[in-house]
Amino acid sequence: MTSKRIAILASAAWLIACSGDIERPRGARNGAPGSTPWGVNGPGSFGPNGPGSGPNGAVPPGGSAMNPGAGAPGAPGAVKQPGATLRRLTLKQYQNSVRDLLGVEADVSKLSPLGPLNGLHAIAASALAMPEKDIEVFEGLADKLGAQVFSDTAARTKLVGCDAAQSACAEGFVASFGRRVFRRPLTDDERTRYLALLRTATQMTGDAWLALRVITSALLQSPSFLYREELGAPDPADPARRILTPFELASRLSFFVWNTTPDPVLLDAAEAGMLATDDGLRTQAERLLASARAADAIDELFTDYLQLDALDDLVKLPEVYPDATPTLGLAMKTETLRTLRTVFFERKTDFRNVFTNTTTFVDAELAELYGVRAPAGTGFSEVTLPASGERAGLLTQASFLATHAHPGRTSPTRRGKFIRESMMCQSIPAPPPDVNTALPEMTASRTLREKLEAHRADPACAGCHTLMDPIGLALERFDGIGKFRQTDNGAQIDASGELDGTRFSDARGLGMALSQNANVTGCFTRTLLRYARGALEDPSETPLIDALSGEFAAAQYRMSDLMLKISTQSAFRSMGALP
Amino acid sequence: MKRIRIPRRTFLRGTLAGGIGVSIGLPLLEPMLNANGTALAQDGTLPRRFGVFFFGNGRGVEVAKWRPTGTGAGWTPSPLLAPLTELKDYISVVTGMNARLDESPQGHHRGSAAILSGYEFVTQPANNAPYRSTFQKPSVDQLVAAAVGSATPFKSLELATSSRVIKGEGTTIQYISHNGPDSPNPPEVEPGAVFDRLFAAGGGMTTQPTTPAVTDRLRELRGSVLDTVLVDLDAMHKRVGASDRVRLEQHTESIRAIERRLTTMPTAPAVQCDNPTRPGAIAGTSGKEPLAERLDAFGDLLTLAMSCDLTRSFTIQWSGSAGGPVFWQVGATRAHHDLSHDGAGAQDVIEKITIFTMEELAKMLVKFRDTPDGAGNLLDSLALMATSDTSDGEAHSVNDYPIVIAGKAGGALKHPGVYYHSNGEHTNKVLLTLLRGVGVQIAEIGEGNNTETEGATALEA
Repeated sequence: MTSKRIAILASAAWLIACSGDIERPRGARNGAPGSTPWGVNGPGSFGPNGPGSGPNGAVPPGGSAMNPGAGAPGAPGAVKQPGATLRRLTLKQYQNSVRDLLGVEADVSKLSPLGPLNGLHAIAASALAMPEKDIEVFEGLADKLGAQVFSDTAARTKLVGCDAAQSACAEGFVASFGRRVFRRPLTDDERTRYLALLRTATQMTGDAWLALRVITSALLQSPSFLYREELGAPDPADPARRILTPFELASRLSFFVWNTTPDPVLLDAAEAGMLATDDGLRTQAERLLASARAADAIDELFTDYLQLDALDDLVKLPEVYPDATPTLGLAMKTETLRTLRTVFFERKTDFRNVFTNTTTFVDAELAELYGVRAPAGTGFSEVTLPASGERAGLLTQASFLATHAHPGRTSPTRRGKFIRESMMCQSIPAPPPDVNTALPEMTASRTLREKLEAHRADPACAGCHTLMDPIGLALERFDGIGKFRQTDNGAQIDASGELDGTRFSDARGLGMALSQNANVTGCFTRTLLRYARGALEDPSETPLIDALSGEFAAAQYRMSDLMLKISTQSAFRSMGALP
Repeated sequence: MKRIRIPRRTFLRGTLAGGIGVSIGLPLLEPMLNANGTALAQDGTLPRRFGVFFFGNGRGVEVAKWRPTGTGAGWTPSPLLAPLTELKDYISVVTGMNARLDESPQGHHRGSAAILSGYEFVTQPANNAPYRSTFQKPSVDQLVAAAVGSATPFKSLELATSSRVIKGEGTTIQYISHNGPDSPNPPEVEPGAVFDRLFAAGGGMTTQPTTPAVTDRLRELRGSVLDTVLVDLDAMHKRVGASDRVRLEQHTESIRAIERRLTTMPTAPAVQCDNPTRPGAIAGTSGKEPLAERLDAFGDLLTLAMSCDLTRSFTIQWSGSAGGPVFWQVGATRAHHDLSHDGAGAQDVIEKITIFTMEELAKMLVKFRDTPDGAGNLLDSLALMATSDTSDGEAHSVNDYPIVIAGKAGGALKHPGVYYHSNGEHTNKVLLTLLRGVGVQIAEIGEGNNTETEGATALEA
């Protein structure tokens, strides 16, 4: 492979989806070739609110050219929120809810994952229509799950709690189980209709238990189960705002913190009006956050945020990476989720430590990849990474390194792009149309750094690549599946890099720089709010994001504290008008 | 002698080995046709079918290698189209048309939206979150489904041989088939799962062995449950905002489709539609997607689906828009999209990929041609468009768009097929020709300067 070809490969590495041109209004644009893409404020002005905002998201009074609406906090009616909407259950939420409701595992393998949108499946679940294929699957599942529980005498007795042959029992079950499935009491009309269905089923089959199975199946395929309503009622004080009903709020809290249907305690608290007060809401939020179930739920959050599902089907060339087995990809995912769960919930440590952490979780396969001692047995154990080594923190975990790479080699640009876009909430401008990625012949190029240098020197490419490459290059001593290496193509790797003015000489330095970068914690705050509400924030909500970031800092960046702050915000109780 | 007339819309229940019930339609049997064999005795028209075969990243930079030589019916396939030679009579090729949209160039988004729907895509708000766009209008397969889909158990079928699609830029390039904004029809990748969906037992309420009487009662109850769901949907519809109303309306349509399948099933087993064999599991690794094997199985399934009139509209995503399969079959070691930007040196592999794609497409079309259907074969009634998300994937061009058309569309398309080189007309003309060819009543497609009311008459019989 010629170095010209390699240079072309390298420069094309980040054209992941060739999705635009320089005229498209997305982020700061001057349009003139060679100009920096972040407009007049220069590098470093990429605050969390986009070009023109400062590093902590502060916006100059009166807004800026790039944030016209965001500079007048406090003006009455100025803040808009994402609109009231339905949110369909994600696959995991469906599975968790079924487990909590029926005590059985639903096979969700035939459902479409759908999305992500704007980087999160949580947003896709609010926006996308439910495919016909999935509706068929939900119908089949509803029946299968009903059959599974009701063909087991012990299970059905446990579920129903009385003798189905007694009409009071059967009718009571419709109301009480219906309330749990719909996450709110049935309306009068619903109760009438479902009781009528019960009567029909009982008459037709002559079997009271079979009739309850039919009801169960019906409830599980109702839109009132499959969609979470976050519609609320109009706020008398503000026509642009709607307040969630107590049950909608209970659901929002439960899915945010536990990723499942509200438990009976939470439903009862909603019904008793306890969520109407800040204290009442906080009590429930604290209860949920204190439970081990909160740790389970963050798996979905981080799988979504870090795109870890890519590891279920890792694409690596076997001749380049013979160690890249399907089990390795899954192990990488487990390592990252275990680490995050430990950092955030079990030890409640500072979020920023995730970038500098010198311990991780490995199984035998990962231990081999990392060159550390394998744990005893087949499971995962926590290990301390060698102090003299370069591996520390999330960005040196194989999950990150392998996902943001090519089938046959690394991609500093992709790694840098992900960090910019997903961890710093900074848009990377799209490539110009007809971008010519052919570069002049290179002589004596050896490492990928040297090849990428060529296209950072070209002003037409440099504007974008200087945002990404200096970050990703610090990770070059980790190959396309995350294995440590000193050389690339026979030449020593130089892993120095730079992030918005901070220089470092290796991956550990990059981790340190990210842990100290306010854009990172601000972006995480923003992302968590998006996840909680299943929607992008409105640009007018900048003060809210800033306030939450400030509270995150004041709480020593403990994630559970941030989740508590988010859940008890007035923005969590409400949303914008019905679109 | 009086001929027995069998109603076309007869869906029968048979059983496979192992006692699994299947619901399948009758193939187009002679007694269903009128005396001339040219129309259904009952309905009056033979069904026509519509398909899309989609491959990402264009046909390559060297347009000369794609463009046939000659014109009209006397055309000669180019090197990249050579695999279709055996089928030439059933193939038309169009070059020189432009898939223009007004939206600023958006690379693959633009081509996909233009060729699959005829309309602009919509860029959606992102703040500083990752980009997102969606189709503004339904894709053409759904226009067909809307016109004829309620006549078959499944309005359409979405299949994919590759999973290596772009997931981070919205629905426009993640999916081929769309009902409208933010409403994709996700494809199925596993042929076995497609079979199960098409030929599932009555589903619901029959998962436990029961007597036929109980089974019938349970099926009736299943209908009552679906009715309850419909009322729930209606009540919810009154509570939600505008965009959610659309979601719920689509949900309602899907429930109605399930109900239709339920009510057209008779209660006694009868003659079967061949003996459908469930495709086995197809082995593949994450780096080596079994594209050809999957397409082969899909070819069999579509043959069955069309023969038994289970659907008349389908899409096959061979590779996604800007998609990234590694075409190990021809020695590629980079994802397809990346390869398409690797400059002139990569074009030999890009061309091999295009040839490989055409080879596998040809194999599937041969299956259709060799399957008797009424007085002819499945290609006689089919209009299939094979196309991409760009013409030149490296330049992201949507000019001189690659369009290959297979089938006669029941006589609406020229046969033998022709090569037509246009001087810059809009690809929307082709969409009109194909849609009208399969019986969709459509006055125009596109908006503003990109509106077309006339089809590509060079292709029309």
